Amino acid sequence: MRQMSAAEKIASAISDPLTWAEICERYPDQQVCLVEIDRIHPRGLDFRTARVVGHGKTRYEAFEQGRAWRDRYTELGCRFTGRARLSLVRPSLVLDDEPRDAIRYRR
Amino acid sequence: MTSLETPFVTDGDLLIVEAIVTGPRGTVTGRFVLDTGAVLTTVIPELVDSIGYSPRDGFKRARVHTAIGEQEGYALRVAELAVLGFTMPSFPVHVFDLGHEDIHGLLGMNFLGEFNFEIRPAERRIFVEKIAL
Repeated sequence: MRQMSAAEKIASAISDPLTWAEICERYPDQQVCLVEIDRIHPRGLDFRTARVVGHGKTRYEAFEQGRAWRDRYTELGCRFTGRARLSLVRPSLVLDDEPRDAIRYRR
Repeated sequence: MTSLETPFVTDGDLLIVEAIVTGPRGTVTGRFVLDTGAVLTTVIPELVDSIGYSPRDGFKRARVHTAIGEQEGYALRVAELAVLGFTMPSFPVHVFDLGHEDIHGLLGMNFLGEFNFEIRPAERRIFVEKIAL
């Protein structure tokens, strides 16, 4: 029987459906990649339960593990279980040479 | 015309809604700040990477000024952006690292300008209706 690689072992880990409080307790201060998000409101951020398919100190780590589940889940979500310490960078954009029309939404 | 209602959450003074971004390799959901002061909708690089985009897919490089200096970003058309109950196909976004652990984008006026909207902070709800053409 073929042995699973380390990446496959990590990728094969999926949690049971967990509440946000349970996710925060199990994966403290981490980025988590979620699937099967059971939303309270169809367009809202709050959810009853979700399953964790990736976690780590960075979003890249969490998404890397979550990517292995793309065949089964088309939709992934990402959240941070800690308290955000960094403040939001508000960019001011400088367009080099093209007019602003290029980035407008066109119906 | 009926308006769609969407709940939002707050983080300090920030109003945050869920956005659903679709690319060639799937869909990802994120927490976006409702930002009427931003011309463009911004998405962080990790989010667009996770759905199959890279800087090579960008149609425009852009210099970005921030409090810590000048950095490079790029503009990209994502297959779909769905927020507040409306889905916009082939939507242009600016890709840039916002430096915040739990914010994945800014919902700017190139999205919001397509709608009439009413924010009810005390109720933590936003009502949105498409502008009739």
